[in-house]
Amino acid sequence: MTVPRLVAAIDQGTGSTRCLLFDESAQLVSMAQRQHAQHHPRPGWSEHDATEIWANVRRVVPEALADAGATPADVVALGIANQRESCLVWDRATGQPLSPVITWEDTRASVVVDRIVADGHHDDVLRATGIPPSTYFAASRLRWLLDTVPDLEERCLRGEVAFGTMESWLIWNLAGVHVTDVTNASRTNLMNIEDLDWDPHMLAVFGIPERVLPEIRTTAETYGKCSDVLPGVPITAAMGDQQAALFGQTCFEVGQSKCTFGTGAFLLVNTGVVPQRSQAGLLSTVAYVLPGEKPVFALEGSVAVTGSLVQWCRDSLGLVATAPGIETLAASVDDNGGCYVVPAFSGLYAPRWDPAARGVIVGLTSFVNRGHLARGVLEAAAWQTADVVAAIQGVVDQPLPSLRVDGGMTTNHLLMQTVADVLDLRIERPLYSETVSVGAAYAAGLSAGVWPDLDTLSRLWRRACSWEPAMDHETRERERARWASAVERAQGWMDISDTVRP
Amino acid sequence: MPGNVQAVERAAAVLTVVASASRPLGLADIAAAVDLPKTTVHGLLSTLRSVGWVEQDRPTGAYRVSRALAGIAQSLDVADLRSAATPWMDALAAETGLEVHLVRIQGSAAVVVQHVYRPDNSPQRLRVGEEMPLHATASGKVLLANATPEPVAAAARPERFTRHTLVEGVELEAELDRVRRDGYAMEVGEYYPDVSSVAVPVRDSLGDTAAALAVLGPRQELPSGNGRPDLVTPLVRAAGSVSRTLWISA
Ligand SMILES: Nc1ncnc2c1ncn2[C@@H]1O[C@H](COP(=O)(O)OP(=O)(O)O)[C@@H](O)[C@H]1O
Repeated sequence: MTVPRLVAAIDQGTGSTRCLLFDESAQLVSMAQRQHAQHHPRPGWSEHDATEIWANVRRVVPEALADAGATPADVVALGIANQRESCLVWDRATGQPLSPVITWEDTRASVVVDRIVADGHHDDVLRATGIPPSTYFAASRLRWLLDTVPDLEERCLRGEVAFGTMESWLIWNLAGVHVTDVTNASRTNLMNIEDLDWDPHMLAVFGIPERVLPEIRTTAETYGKCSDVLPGVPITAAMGDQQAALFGQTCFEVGQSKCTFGTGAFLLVNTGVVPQRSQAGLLSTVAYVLPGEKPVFALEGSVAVTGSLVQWCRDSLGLVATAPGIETLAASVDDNGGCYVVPAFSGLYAPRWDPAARGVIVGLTSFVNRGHLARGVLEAAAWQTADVVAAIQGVVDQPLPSLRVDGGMTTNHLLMQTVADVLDLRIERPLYSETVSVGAAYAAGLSAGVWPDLDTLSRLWRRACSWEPAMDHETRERERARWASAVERAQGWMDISDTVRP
Repeated sequence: MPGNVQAVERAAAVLTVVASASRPLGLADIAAAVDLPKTTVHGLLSTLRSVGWVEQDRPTGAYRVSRALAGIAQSLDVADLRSAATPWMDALAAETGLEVHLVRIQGSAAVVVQHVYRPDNSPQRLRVGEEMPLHATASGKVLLANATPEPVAAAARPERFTRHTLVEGVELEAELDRVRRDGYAMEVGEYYPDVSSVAVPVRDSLGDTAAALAVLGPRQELPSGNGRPDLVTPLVRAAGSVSRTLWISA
């Protein structure tokens, strides 16, 4: 049997690291996956072990190869997609991490952000980087490390230390070069959104020595050849996971959008070659940059709590035995019975931005049962998405043609139908929900010449499922009003002012 | 069966005895039931316990099947089944270029519980929740042939949908025997005149049929003659993957 030429994708995610192999017709050939430990040494802190993650890469890649009956020689190119904003510093001489991976969920650097905002830099940062200063992004975490790790700042100034997000860490280990891709760099608070390079003023604002930073490269070019794991294979693409999903969903036209329904929900819409300003709680971000072409931007809206609400129902309430079971329970009733769930577990994000909000369940009567509660949970995911779409429609002129979805929750038909109903939009799921890995592979294959252009990639997109809106206008508007009223009741619960992210 | 691993056979026998008992069983009872020495059975039980398949009652030391395993034996939640099956259905659709159904038996109907479109971006309608006749579809025949207990035979004579629909009792029985023997079922224009389908069972951890997995397409694209169609190989592989995923996630 001859093994076809393969494109490898590594998806270094928040919970696990996986390797997927695709053939030239973009069919999935094999996949291997390993989870890594989540460390929470203090409230608000969230860490991974960079050495463990690198060890997992060294295991999953050979596993995927073995499963496909392939060797590194069969692999034409490697693409990397990664959890965004999570970062670390390491020793350039020994390659040893000098810090844990501080993840995107970590809020320890709020002191740094508070200081920068107090110093009046909020608008500067927003103007230069397209995103507001926030603990969500990497710069504040790097500054926190410089403030707390002994000798780190001096060693950085002497050029002995490298900083990077996860793709930088992996590329360093695989190929020995210190680079980042522009989509990842766009999530640091340090990159200028116009010229796509480190912004000297931002480096000054955050107090970051430039020598510690990787070189910013386009999304799809050869960064180097692997000397380990896949010896001789060029690394030809890297991108943040949500951008990779947008790429994997082949949203290459202005106005095309995708939403990933997992732990949280991330909706990105392609806004073309001119960066939009972050507004209405939406973030302006780089979608991808191909060599020699104009950068393409996206507007991103996120919902903090979607799948995690289902998880909470399973683990903290014991309402269901498994996450998918929420659908069966919700389907046991015809509607929400008047019950609304607003999962503002750590405040409200886009488009309301209220750190003092907390979750509420309202509309309870003796009629309401577990089934209604389960419906309320699914509807919460749908209405939060609708709020993000409404914010996007306030910025992007043309109406969205449809919404492409992926992620673990897309096997939930009741949820997807509800999303179609409340958005009044056709929802489409492609074959392979692993769109993050698909995107990394597409970008890598494009860059290595396996696929000639974006049009070819667009034609590889295949609809696996679709949901058409079936709710009448009157019902939708009544439910929208009730949802809005439930959200109002969640607002301002905590009398605090904390730095909300992002 | 030639070439069976004895230890696995014995472990399976022990597990079957423990699983089918209505109360936790003591070592002596289990050893008697499987007709093996107590020391051997004790070794098997400790291994089964260490992998989490059986549990021991605290006060009595009697054995029962672990909760996770018992959960599989209970009727599988359709949403869990769908969640486990979807990635493999996607892969099957990509590999065969055909529409894919996951189908369960509900009363006297076959119900589509997951549907992956024919991957050609042509307009298609989601058929999840749709009821189909058991006797006239490949999935339905797989479910009928493997049903335990057998579903109550519909009082009336099976409905004829096309001139190919099997409606005679004897014909249908012979067909179901064939399905049981071959491990797959075919449908050749028996429900919709221009649609054919091949289906195989998806088995749960106890070997019972949890669902049927089917590929469907225009009649001229699918085999219609005798002999095992090539499509059975990827179907069986996908069904096996679904079973393993169910097994792991339980
Ligand atoms: N069928 C389902 N219905 C509802 N929620 C689900 C379903 N399947 C998974 N989830 C939820 O989705 C999340 C997992 O989705 P996944 O895409 O694997 O997440 P991530 O990549 O964010 O870890 C979990 O929070 C889980 O509770």
